[in-house]
Amino acid sequence: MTERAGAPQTAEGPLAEAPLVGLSGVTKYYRAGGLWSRSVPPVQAVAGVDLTIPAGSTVGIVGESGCGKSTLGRIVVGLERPTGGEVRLHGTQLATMSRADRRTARYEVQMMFQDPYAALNPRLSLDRIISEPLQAKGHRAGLARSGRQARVRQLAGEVGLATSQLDRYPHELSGGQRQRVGLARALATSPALIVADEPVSALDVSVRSQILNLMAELQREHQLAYLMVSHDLTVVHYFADQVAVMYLGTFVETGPAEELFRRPAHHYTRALIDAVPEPVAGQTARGTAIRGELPSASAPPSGCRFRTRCPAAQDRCAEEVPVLRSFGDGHRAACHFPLIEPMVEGPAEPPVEPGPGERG
Amino acid sequence: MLEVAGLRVDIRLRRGAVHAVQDVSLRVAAGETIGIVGESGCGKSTLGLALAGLLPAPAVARGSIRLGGRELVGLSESELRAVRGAEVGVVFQDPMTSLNPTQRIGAQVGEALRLQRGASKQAARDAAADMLDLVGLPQPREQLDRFPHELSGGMRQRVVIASALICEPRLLIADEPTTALDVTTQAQILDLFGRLRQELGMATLLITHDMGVVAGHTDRVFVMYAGREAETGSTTSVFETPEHRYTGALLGSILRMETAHLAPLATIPGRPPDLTLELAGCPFAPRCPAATDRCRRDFPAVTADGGHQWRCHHPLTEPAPSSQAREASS
Repeated sequence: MTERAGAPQTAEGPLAEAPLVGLSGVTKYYRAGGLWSRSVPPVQAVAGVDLTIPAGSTVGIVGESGCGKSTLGRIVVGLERPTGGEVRLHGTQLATMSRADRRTARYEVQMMFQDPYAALNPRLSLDRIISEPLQAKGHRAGLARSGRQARVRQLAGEVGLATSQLDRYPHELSGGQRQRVGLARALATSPALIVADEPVSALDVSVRSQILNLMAELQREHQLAYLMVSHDLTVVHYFADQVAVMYLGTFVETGPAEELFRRPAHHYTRALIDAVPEPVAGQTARGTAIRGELPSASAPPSGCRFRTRCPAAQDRCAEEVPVLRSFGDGHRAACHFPLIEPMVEGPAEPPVEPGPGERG
Repeated sequence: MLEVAGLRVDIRLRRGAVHAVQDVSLRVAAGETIGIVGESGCGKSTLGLALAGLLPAPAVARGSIRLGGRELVGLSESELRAVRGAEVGVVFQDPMTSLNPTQRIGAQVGEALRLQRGASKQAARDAAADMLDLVGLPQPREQLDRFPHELSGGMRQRVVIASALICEPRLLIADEPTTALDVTTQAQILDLFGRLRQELGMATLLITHDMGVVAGHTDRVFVMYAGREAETGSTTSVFETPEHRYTGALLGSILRMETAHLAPLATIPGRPPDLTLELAGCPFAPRCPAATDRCRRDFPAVTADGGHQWRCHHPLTEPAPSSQAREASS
C-alpha cells in the first residue's frame, strides 16, 4: 500500500496502472497564530506519509485522537492543502492541475462525516441536501432540474431512504437515517472514493451494523473506494483491506488488515489491539494499558515518536528514526525492536536463519 | 445500599409526556458495579439523572429511590444538592461540560469538600492533590493551578472523576464516561474505576451503549428498552445465556475483532417506539422476529432464575414460537 518516499515505483513489482489516489511525502504543519508564532514550533499534524488507495478497495487509518488521521482525510478530499509532498489522482498531481480539472477531480472524491447532524444544513430538506452537489457549477449531471430529481430519488433508494421522506428536514430523522442522507449526498456526484471520517462512531450498535452493511453493498455495486478514518479498531478490522496505523503524524505500521491485526510488528499497534474491550463477560482489555498520553505534535520525541510510551524502548530508539521495513506481503512497520522478525531487505545481504538464534 | 422501586420518570413536553422511565426497580450493593445498557433513547441516561437528583425541570419522578435507607424522591433541590455532593458522585461523557473553564483545577476538585464538609481552603487543596494523585494525574500538585483547557481529554476526565470522588460518595454514577475517549485512554480510565472501587468501596452505576465496556467492568447488567427493564442479571449470565430477545439481538449486532471481513452483519430492524405513546404489550414486539399476538397484547411479567430476571414471553432458552403463531394476526 505504501512506498517509501523516493523509492522507485517498480520496487513493489511491475509498473501497474496509476492508482486512484497516491500520496507521497505529504506533510501538513499548522503554525500557531499571533504574536509569538515565530517562536512556537509548528504542529506537525502530518509529518511525511506515503499512501496508495487502489480503486474499489478500503484503506483504513487508525490511531488516537490528535495523531493526524482526520487531517490526512481532509487532505485527500481537498479540504486542506498539504504543506509539502504530492497528492495524485489517477497519477496526476492535484497541484499541477488546471482549475477546471481540479473541480472535476473534486467530484471523484467525496466526504462522509462522523456527526451527520452537524454536517447537514438544518434549513434544507433532504432532497435539497442530496441534490446540492449536483447543482455545483460545471457538474455534468447538474444541468436539468428533472434529471436532478430523478437522480435524487435514485440515490435515496440506494441508501434505503423512502422517497416520501425527501421533503423532511434533518432534525426529523434518527442518527442512522441522517448517516444515510450523508451517504446519499456523498454519492451524488458518482465519486470513485469516499473519505469516511468515523462514519459509525456516533451510532448505536444495531444502526452501526445497518450502515456498515450499506457501505459494503455500495462498494460492491459501484466499485467504490473508501478511506476510512477511525479510532475504532473493530470497525477498521472488519471493513478495511489495507490499514495504516498512525502515530503523531507518521505511519508506524501498514499492511493488509488481516495480517496486520493478527501479527502486529509495532508495539503501538499491539497496544491499540490490546485496549479494545471484548464483549465477553469478565474479560477486561488484554495486556496492560498503554502508558501515558500522546506527546505534543509540535515537539515530537526524537528518534521513534512512540518511544516515550513504548514498553520496549531502548537508547537506540531515542537516537535513530526507525524507517518502515518489510515484514512480508506488503506488511511494513517502523520499529527498531519489532514484535516479529522482519524480512531481509535487498539481495546483497546473505539469508539468515528463520527466527532468532536464541540458543546460538 | 441503593434501592430503586417502581421508578417512573415522565418528561412533560408541549406535545405530551415522554414516559422516559417506566416501573424500574433495581438494587445495587456497596462495592458493586452495575452496567445500564441500551440504545440511545432507551431512558438509561434519564435513569442516571433521576438517581443523581439531576432531572431537568419538566421531568417528574415517581416511585422510590432509597440511598443508604434515605428516600430521595420528593427531596427539595437544596437537599438533593447536599446528597449529590456528599453521597453521590456523577461523571458524564464530555468532561468539558462538567468543568468550569474559568476556574483552576484545584479549586474545582476541592469545591465539594469546602461546600459539604466546610473544609478550609488549604485542606481542600491538599485533599484535591491527593485525589488527583489517586486518579493518576501526573504531578498532581502542579496541576492544581492549571485550567481545564490545558489538559487532554483523558486527563480532564480524570479531573472530573476526582471531583466526583472527593467526598468519598457511596454511589458513583458514570454516564458514558469513556465514550469520548480513545481506546487507550478508555482502558486506563476503566482500570482506574476498578481500582477506585476496591480502594473506596463505592457502588458504581456504569451507563453505556458499549457492550464491550460492560462485559469487562461490571458485576451485573441491567438491559433497558423503551424506558423499561428488559433483562437483569450477573454480567456472566446475561452475556453467556441472554434470555430476552432484545438482549440477544443487541449482543448479536456487536462488531468483534473476530468478525470476518465484510461478512453481513446482523441488525435490529426498525426503531425504538415513541415513548409519548402508551404502549400495549412488549415494547420490543414490533422489532422482534419471535413476536406473537401475546407479545403485542400483554406486557411480559418478570421471569426469574436466581438473580437473573427478564421480561420476555419467548425467551431465547425456549424454542422460538412457530411461524403460524408469529403470523397469527400480523
